[in-house]
Amino acid sequence: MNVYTAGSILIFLLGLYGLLAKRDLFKMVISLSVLDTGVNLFLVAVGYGSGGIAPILTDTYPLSVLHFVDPLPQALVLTSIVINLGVTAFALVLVARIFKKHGTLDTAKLWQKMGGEEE
Amino acid sequence: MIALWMTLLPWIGALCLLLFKGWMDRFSRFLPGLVAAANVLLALLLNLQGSQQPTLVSLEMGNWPAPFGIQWVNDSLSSFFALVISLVLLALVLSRGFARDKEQQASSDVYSSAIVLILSGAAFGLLFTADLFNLFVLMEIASISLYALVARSRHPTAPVASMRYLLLGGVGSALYLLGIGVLYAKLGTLNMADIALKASSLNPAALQLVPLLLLLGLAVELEMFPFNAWVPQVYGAGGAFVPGFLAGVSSPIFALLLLRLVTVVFPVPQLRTVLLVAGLLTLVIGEFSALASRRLLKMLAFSSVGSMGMFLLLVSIPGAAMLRSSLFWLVMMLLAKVPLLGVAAYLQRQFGTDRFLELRGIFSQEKSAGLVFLLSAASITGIPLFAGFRAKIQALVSLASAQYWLLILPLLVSVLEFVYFFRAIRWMGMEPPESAGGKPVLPGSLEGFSRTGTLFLFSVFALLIVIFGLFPQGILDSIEVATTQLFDPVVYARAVLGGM
Amino acid sequence: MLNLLVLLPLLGVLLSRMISTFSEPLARWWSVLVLGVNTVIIASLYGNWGSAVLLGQVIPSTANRPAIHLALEINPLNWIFALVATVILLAVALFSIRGMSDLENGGKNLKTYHVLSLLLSTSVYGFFLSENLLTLFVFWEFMTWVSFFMVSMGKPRSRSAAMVFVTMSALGAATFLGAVAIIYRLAGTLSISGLSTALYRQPAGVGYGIMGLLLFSALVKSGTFPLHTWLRKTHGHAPNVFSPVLSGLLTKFGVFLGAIVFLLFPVMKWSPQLFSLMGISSFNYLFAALGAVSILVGTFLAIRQEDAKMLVAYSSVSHAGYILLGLAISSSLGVAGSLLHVMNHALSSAAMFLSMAAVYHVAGTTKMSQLGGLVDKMPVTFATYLIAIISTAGIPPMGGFVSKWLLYQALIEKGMIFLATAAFIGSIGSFLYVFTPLAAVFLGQRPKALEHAKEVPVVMQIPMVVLSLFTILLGVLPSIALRWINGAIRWIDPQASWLTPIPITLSKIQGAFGAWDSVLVFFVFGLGVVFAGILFYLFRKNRRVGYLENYTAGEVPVEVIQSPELYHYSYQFYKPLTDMYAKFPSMEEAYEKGIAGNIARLAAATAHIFYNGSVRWSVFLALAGTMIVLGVR
Repeated sequence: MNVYTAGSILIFLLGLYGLLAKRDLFKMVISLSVLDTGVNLFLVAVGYGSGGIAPILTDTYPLSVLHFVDPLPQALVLTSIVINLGVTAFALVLVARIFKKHGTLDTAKLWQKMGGEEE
Repeated sequence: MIALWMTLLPWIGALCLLLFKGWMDRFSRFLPGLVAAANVLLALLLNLQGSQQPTLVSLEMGNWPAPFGIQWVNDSLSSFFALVISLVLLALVLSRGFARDKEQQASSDVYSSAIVLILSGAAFGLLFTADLFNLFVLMEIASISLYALVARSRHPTAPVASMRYLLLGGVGSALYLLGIGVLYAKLGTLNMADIALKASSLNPAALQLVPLLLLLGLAVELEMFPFNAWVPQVYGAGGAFVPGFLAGVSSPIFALLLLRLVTVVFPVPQLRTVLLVAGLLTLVIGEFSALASRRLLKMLAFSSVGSMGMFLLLVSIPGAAMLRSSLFWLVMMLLAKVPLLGVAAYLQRQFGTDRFLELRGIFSQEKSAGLVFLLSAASITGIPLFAGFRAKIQALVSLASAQYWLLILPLLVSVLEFVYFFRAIRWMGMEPPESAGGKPVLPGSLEGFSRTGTLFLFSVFALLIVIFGLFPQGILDSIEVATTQLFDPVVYARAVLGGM
Repeated sequence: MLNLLVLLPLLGVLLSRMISTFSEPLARWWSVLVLGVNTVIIASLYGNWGSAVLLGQVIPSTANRPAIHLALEINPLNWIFALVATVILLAVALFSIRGMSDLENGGKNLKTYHVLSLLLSTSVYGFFLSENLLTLFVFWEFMTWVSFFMVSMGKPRSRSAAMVFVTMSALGAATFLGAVAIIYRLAGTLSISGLSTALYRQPAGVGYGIMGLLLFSALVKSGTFPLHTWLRKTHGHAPNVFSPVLSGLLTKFGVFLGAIVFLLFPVMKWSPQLFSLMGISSFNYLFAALGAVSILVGTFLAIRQEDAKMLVAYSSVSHAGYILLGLAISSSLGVAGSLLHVMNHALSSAAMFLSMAAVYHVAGTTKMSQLGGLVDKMPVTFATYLIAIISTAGIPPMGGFVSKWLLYQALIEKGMIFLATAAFIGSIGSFLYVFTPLAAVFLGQRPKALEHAKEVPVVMQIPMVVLSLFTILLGVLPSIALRWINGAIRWIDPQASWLTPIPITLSKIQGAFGAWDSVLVFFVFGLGVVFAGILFYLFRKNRRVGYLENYTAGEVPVEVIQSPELYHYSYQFYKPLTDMYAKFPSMEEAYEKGIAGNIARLAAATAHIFYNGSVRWSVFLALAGTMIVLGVR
């Protein structure tokens, strides 16, 4: 396990902590974002070989040089980042809307407020 | 090629709606319906093709051979379910069209229509995809669309419901992605067939970890306990489309994906143990919670959770018979859940509430809704000779042939199921109505053609329940073919990797 | 022919709906016609044993197991049940032509009722003629479902009664289905007549397990202790014309299942592996004891009832006990007594409920404290009730005595003192409770409101008279029915030593300790009745007193003004006796408050814990679930 993998897992755990410990919806969304970042970093770290080069055929690096970084995880992560962006943006809009509607983002208070509408 | 178009067509429709907004506003009402109808035709075509050529058809995009390119695989399982799901989608899209507010601005409806189209495209994509990452992308597209649709509901709790769904879904997808990461690191491939062939070369630790992470990723959409806390509120927010979609399209599709994962890709025992425990918990907790709910939509949401629990339980046991009964269960429950939720959402819309104590005696003025509810409830509780009974008896026989004790909990909770469904029927159907003249029609309630249309759609489902209850052979045959194919992962792998 | 029995009522349903749009009363006659044809078919099927018919496939065949079909078959055992069923159904249908006064609040309700009653008949014929256990289950559930709607069409409280009914039935259905699944796995077949061979090689533990599961649902459906609690509410609140079917017929569903379990399972092969009590296996003894308890519980609770319909409901509990007792003993006399008792109880309880329905038709209530003195206004109804209760109480010369006599013989033959005592006490107790409605409804003072009461129309009298005649016939010539029963016994196991046909002639039944000459006894009793009648009319000296014309020494207590029924002579008729067990805990309450209430509480707690409004908590649950899954692996 290299430093990137370890770091990514650390970030992942940080996000997990945020999700578990924070009671503010906004902070929970941020934590989710952090969690996702951790996962993305993990994917990149997995594809990275130490000392590898970009997987582009040029004159400097002919085909015989096989030690290149796997491009697929990076492509995956690119997609994943876009998706995360979308989810986070949507979540923030939702947070704003909830705040407008209920006047609070505290999950406990929200629960109290909605108690009547639920059952 | 047809399979691909089933995804592309809705997406092109959505693109048109969004790009040419203003021009297309007038069509926004019809476009989803048209596309859904076209998809039914495509699915029919797909099945006809399949019957002439019962082998697997695999499509490669961008001329990248498997396992490198993105692949759409059409085996008999997915083509059969494509037909089922396209029909359900057609019904849901139409009922959504009927339920559209007259006063609501057409421009606002364009967005919803576009989201519905994107969602339908993603649904078919999930059915056909052969690649785990592709699955992830489609799953995200589908869930973001669903969050958005839920948030657009007018129910007071809708935004919070959507938020909860989003947070849980976010955690699920992160876990799924993590699983993909580990898998790719160890195996260097994400093609399901390829993994199936190479899975044995994984080290034991990874072979245990990866399927579990993938399962946890799917768990949110599978309504598996404890990832299903979003279910009651999201269903409860109502609407003509979302509850039906979740119960009739999304959870069956993810169930199929799980089935593929368990039988073809990773036939590991640990996965089955987790499924067994999770299935039992989901079943019991779902049915118990249904007993406690006083709101029709929530009750049905929990009942849907319970039926997914039973499915997980069935999947957790190896063997072709189990596969058959789990698929049968899936189809038969779907047939009952869609009209039930449809009727509940309809009642909520017409009378402003879905608490069945407030809907006392409602079926005496809503006769056809009552009849649909009655037949579907009979099916889901397993009253003989309705479709659900066939599924129930097969499931129980399969469970008994695995382990006797597995029978205990499903049988006990089936008593609960009886009680809460009959309780709802009692209040809404048997008790005399509170006011003799009937309640005043609420603003925004459905009238005339929209009302008839909505009820007609669900009556079709009720009719299907009766027909398939009496003559289930057609579905059984299709499932039989699908099972045989699914149960031969090597054939699947060869077909996928061998290319077209 | 056989499939007609099921298809005819089923098609009749469609026609019934069409007919009732033209003329609702015509639909009532239509039901009678359909059931009449079915009765003729059943009668004509006597002797065609083994003829079978397939109706459709339920479980598709797999590599190692054959398919299970929906199939009907006729054999000497189920023919007896089918005959009883069709007689009751026909009688009630005929009665219903005029007797549905409690349902006639709107024509719509009645149209639905006709449809439902034909559907119910379908399920009844299908059930009793099932070839295999799955068919049995299909029609069983069908019956539950239809009954739910029929019960809830009754009085306002019938809806909650119907819920109790459905809950108990669902419990029974669950164990039944479990047993079916297990048998299918073990034997690969579910054919009822083949059960003995199919399960022969199974170990005793498994066998008794299956039997226990099936008997659980049999106890539920037959209303036997400790699962009898649904009977009072359901039978009491159901529509008046449905109560006779519920009590006379639908409880026999459970009895039929019990008969299958005790008679058609390879019990004799398994029983040596279980320690035996009084000559039968302890398993059988357990159920015999439950039957005995059921007799006592039903009797004592019936004594306490103030509503005639609820009283009859509890009498059904006690009679279900007699039937179970005989079946569980599984000796020739016991089995013959039980099967005969099935017929007698079906006839007498249907007749009792019909006469109560007739009373309701006239008086608008079945609360005994509001009735009285109807004997000379409604002589036919009175006679029906009288004959029915004589049979119920097991007094010669009615049918009920013969079957009870056989059961006593069986008990004494085995030397089962405790069970015999319970059976005797139950019999004496039944004198007490059947007398209450007799005195309260038909004899004594007549309330002013009933001064102009008239006997019910002839259409309603006919079925009552016919049922009474059958009851007398079974008392005078029980050998007719016993010949059928002997046929069934021979069919069950031709070579068995534990079950042999009992020796009968036209008028005599040979028991273990002597014979019973029913014809002779009938003439003796008949002479006695004639003699007593002559004395009564010659020397009668009586004066009618008005309702509530009681001696209060000039004082009118407040509670009597508030609730005048306290002064009705039949109110708390057996107070000194019922006071002795008034403080006994009520099982009905224990089930509803204790079990059902706690389950509801548990459900509410589950929903509250896992699906509360807190977003954070749901995320926490999901993450905790993740940790557990990943950690435990």
